[in-house]
Amino acid sequence: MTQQTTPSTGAKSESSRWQLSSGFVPIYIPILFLIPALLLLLSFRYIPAVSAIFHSFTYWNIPEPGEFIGLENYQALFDDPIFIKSLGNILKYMIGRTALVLVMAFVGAELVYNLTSDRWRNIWRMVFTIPMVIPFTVNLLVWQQVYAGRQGMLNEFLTGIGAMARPYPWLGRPDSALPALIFIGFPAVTGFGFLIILAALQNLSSEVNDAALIDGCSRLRRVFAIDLPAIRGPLALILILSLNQGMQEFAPMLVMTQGGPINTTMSPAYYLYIQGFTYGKHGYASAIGAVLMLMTLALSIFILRMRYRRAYDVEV
Amino acid sequence: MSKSSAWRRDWPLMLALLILAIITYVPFVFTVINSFKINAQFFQEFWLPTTPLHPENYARAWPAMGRAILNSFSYSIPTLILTLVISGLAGYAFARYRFPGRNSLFISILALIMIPGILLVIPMFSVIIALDWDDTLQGVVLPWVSVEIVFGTFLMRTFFETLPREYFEAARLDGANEFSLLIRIAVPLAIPAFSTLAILNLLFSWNDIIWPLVAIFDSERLPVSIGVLSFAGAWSTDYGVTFASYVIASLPLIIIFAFTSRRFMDGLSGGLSI
Repeated sequence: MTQQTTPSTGAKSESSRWQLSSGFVPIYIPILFLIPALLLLLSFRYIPAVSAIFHSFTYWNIPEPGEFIGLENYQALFDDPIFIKSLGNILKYMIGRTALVLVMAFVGAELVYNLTSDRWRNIWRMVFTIPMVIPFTVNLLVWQQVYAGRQGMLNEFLTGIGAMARPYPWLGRPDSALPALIFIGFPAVTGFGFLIILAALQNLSSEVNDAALIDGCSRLRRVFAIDLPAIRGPLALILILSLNQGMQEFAPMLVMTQGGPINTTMSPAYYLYIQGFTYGKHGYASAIGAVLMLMTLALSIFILRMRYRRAYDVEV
Repeated sequence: MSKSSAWRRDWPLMLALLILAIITYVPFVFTVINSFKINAQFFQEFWLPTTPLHPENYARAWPAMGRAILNSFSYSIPTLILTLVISGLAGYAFARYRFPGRNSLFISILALIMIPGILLVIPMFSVIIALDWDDTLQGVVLPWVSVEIVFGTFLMRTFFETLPREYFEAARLDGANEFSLLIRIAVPLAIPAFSTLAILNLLFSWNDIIWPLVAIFDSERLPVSIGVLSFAGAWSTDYGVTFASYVIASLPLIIIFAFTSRRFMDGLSGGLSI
């Protein structure tokens, strides 16, 4: 498997490889191979995407057909204090969560990568991979127990060591609920980010590292001067994935807080779900989805621009 | 480097990793320990195991969770098979054949990654209601496959492009047709890529909550991801039974991981760093 090919070179070099003289294979063969994928994408991706945008301009209560109302949904949306609040919440959540995940994945991967023994490197990689197979919902429920006001692990620990006089309902107070969601899974080493960064580090050539060591470069300095710039491709990938996921976050709110207390953990995606499937306002929910899509697109384009500005991809 | 000097160099790193691992695992170990207690024991001793153990907590949680696990497999396995077959075919077509519109078609498939899944939930809900597909296998599976084949097609195309074309030309000269080229040459060589896709697919379908929440009304048909949620809601006053349900819900993937750990981890890190 090709690991860590730089994205910018992939598109060009590919074109010369499979030049098949077109007389050999009838055209229906590739079409035949593509039909199942295209049928599914058409019915469950493309048409619904168009339908969602269209219905964001309608009053829609499934299974009734939508009734065109122009921009009314969007006007109502930007006058909706809960939606506005959810935008601020998700911005904080997205930035906080991404910073935590990115830093801890990098720290974890560097710690493992710098070990001398191959055996221990594999053991630690395994240790931080196993929690990935625990179902997300179970993870959230367990962390609900960590934060619980009564019989909560965090409270028992903090009152046990005398750091706190009485238990605190972390998920039940407006000022601590959103930070609590950000810190789910602390220390947050486990995850795709850790595995991607570790794989990228292990693909770096050892000659560069040896040369740096001979020149008297300390291990810590090497981390920042060599490792960090060399793996900025995978880092940008994790950044995009994590920000996009954060923007659309839904499950922690649904499982742990239901958007409360007083909407301090309401997220746009969870608000979409409530509007669509609790109140049956499917047109209004589609408008939330359309705004969410525009924000996701803008964010991805912005990051890709930042990543490729003044960047030269050199095979390291 | 001798063993002791390696140890001298590594111990601060090992210590840091140990601390991170302990914080990571404490909540889960706590859950396992307390799944063997009744409420009275739990209120008396919070952290440590107590005797007698109460395995009957597992017997209480098993009927609902066992059914949810079966349901999850009944959705995940068809999703897995369809995703591998359809992504394999599409990736192969993009990698091996030139045809008009090939690049724009590929880009338009890849662009779907940018569309938030939650936006499509509402129109897809209207589709399955119109088809009367709520509470059906295909109503859960086909939309899931449509999500997964986007990345799947990209992954398989990237992989098939690394195969040398000489293999295929030699076989064609020997008279093999296009289907046997695919089945006899491409598929066997693509086992690592398929296993990466299978693992990512399994994690996705096992964990997704939004689509089953929307597409399934019958509580008997809920998959693990939601089954454990509704079970925990119903049994929230009995800590031991609730914790036992968390453990049962986690077991299937842990067992699969135990048997395939090497391939599993290589698949996870390989698939996403492409």
